[in-house]
Amino acid sequence: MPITFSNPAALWALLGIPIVIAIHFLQRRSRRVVSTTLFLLQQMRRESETGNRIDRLRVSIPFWMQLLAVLVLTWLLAGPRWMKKDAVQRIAIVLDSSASMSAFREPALEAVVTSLDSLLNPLSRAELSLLSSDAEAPPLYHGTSSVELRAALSHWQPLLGVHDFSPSLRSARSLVGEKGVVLLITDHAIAERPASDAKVISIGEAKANVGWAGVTVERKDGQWIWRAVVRNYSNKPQQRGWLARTDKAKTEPTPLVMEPRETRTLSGPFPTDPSGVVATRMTLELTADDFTLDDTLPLIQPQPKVITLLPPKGKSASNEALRDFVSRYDDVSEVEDATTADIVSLIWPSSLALPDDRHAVIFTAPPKAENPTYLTGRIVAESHVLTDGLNWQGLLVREGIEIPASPQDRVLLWQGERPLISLRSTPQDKLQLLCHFDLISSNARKLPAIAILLHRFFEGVRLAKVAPESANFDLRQRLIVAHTTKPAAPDLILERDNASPQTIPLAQARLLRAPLQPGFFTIKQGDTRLLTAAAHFADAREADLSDAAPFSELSQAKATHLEAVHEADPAWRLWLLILLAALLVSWWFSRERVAQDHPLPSVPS
Amino acid sequence: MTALLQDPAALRAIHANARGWARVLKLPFRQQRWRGQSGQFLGTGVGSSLDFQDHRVYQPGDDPRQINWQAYARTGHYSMKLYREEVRPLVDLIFDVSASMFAFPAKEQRTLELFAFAVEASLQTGATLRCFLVRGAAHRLIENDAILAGRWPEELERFAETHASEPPALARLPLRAGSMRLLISDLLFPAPPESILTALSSRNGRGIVFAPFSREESDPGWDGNFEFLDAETESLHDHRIEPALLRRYADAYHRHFELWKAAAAKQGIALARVDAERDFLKAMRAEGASVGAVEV
Repeated sequence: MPITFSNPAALWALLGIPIVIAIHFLQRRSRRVVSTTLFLLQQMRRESETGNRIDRLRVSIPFWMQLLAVLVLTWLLAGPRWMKKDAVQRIAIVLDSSASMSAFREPALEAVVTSLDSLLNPLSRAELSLLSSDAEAPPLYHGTSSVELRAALSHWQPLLGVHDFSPSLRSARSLVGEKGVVLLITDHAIAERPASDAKVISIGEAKANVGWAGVTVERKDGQWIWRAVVRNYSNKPQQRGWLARTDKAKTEPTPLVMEPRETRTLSGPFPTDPSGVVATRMTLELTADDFTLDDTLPLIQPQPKVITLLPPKGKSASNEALRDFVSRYDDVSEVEDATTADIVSLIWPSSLALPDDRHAVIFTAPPKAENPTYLTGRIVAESHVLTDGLNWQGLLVREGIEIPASPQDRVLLWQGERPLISLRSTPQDKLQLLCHFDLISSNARKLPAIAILLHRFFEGVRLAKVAPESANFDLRQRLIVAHTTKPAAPDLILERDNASPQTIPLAQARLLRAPLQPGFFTIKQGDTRLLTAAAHFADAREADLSDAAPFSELSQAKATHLEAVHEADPAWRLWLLILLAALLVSWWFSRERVAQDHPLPSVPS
Repeated sequence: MTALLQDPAALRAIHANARGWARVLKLPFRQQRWRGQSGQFLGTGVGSSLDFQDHRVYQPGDDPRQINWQAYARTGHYSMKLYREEVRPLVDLIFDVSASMFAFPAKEQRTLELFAFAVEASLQTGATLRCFLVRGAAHRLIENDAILAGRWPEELERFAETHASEPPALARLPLRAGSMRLLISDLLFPAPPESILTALSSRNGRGIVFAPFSREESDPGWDGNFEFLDAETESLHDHRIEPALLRRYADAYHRHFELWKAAAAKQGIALARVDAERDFLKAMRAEGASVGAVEV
């Protein structure tokens, strides 16, 4: 029956055995006694060798009792436990998949192996689980073989940002049951107790890291300018070098000396290749360190989708006002043909029929009456993505024309019982923003809420438009790529540099995210390129390794594991009695010996 | 010198006790035929005691008071009744005053008690007592008055320190012929018993040996390392005593006295070992009476 100890450190108490032996070896009986029969002893000189400063082992009763006491005490302190019959060792290891763990990948893998070696008893059946802290990822391993579990470690990719471990820990707990062991391997101590009574092993240590912390790309004076933030996360000065690389060229490395905790912004234009063509994409590179994710920063010139707008026809003041109002938005171009317009803008009533297959922005014509009164009543906005957070209390609207309501209308803004703004969904899934007031007699053009409302509406249209665009994203950022959803439409294809294309079924398109590694990527549908993008690491919390520190609750986990699969020595009370008896007997015989010592009388001269 | 030996009053107290013991226990004077001055004990010759010895034909010069007139009336011949003579016995008391005799308090007490008893038992019977203090090859004769006054320990200081470990040289003692020789010694020396006992029985002597012993010698209970202080030489000796060795020691100790007893029996000497831990009378009766060293 395999035996183990809940407190192996107590085995150090076995050192008491050599100590007891040494005491009995070394004890020098300096008792001096008078002898009148020395000649008898000297006749047996061979048996009673003299002159030993170190006594031979004296196998007295106290000696054996003291040895027995040491053994029993060690036994009791060590807490021997036996493996239960039919015991199953259930262990789940949750690996922190935060990006910062990539700097400690080897120690983390070693910690898994060490933990298994420490916890597992090869003589008993085991159920092992290896999970990532990414709750959406499938388990890395679930089975009975520690060898297979170790092989599965290679699939672990710590690339997430800061996230909650609790879902994964709950999953792990459900796998191992109430008495199983859940280990969380991370790189920093956790202030609060983790969920599901998980034991924490931190393999991290403070490391200096300098990396790219974010970037913006903007057009200035007709030129694309990038502004990248580089940060020293450590508490010591750091020296690095950086360069910009394009597909055809790269710049010379530039030294970069960073003060402790310094954040510095670097900027520059997109470089031109030797032929004088401005590169559409580039990569900023820092001297590599232990945390490599933020050492490269891929960039691409952003090219948002352009939405086409059909302005209102006619030269009336209302039409001119509306045209002037909607044409001020970026990436909006006017077209003359309604069939090519994404959004139709018009003044109601209009000579044109309101198309169902187009998005529309509609304001009413000014009232014909002289100085109509302002609407009274309280202005109330419905909860909607277009109106959330906007202040409408400054809107002044006069009595005038009201666009006839439709069952598909949803009122977004009320004044009293009168709708001011409503949103209509056409049978062809187009959105039409109906403003039941005019731009001339109202103060809508001066109201920020109206401008933001229209911006949101345009962005919604832009987002839904199937058209190519270019953009920069964070790693694993959720992507919304407008695509054709017709039944026969092809699947989406995600292409990355130095990686095989990944096909994404249309049903999973809404789950699309940017890649986990920095780099360039494209998304196509069939032959149509929908998105050209670059993904970069920009999670400053994960890049900061200064708080990483080692920590281990493996001993507690082992104690829990032993408690679950082992049973305690049922005879501990008997051992305790034996210990007391041994001590008592030892004391008794030592006491008798002392009593036998004779006083030293004086000898007559 | 121990405190007890330096205290004459204590010695006199021991003598006072010994007088009482001497009235209970007697030295075996009756087991021996004595010659010498008239006294209380039967001599080897014909005397005037009440003890009838023999008849013989009257010869001229015989004391007419000893004629057996009843026999003359029956036979018409003079015949004489002969009676045993009564003489004063001679006692040579040899007191081994080697240091081992005083090594332990109980043994010292018992040694002094034996010495006092021997003196008192001798004197009470009117014996002519001569007392020798013996240490190794040296000996000194001490006066009876000094003994009774408790001054005899002063003689101990006059012994030379050398040869203290040698056995008592009894052959050098001027023991009287036909005397009772009382030896008080623990017999703890490696010399053969015959060399000692022969001196006791020579010249028609009657030897009696009183050998006091204590538990420190017979059952020491040693276990472990000891630094033994030799009682005679005061030299130190390291020995490690284990239970097996202790058993061998006990065997050797027992065998040592068996040899002495065998040798004493062979020479007609009564050897009585006297336990120091027991009451004096009980200790004397235990072995002294059975071997004829004392009479009740």
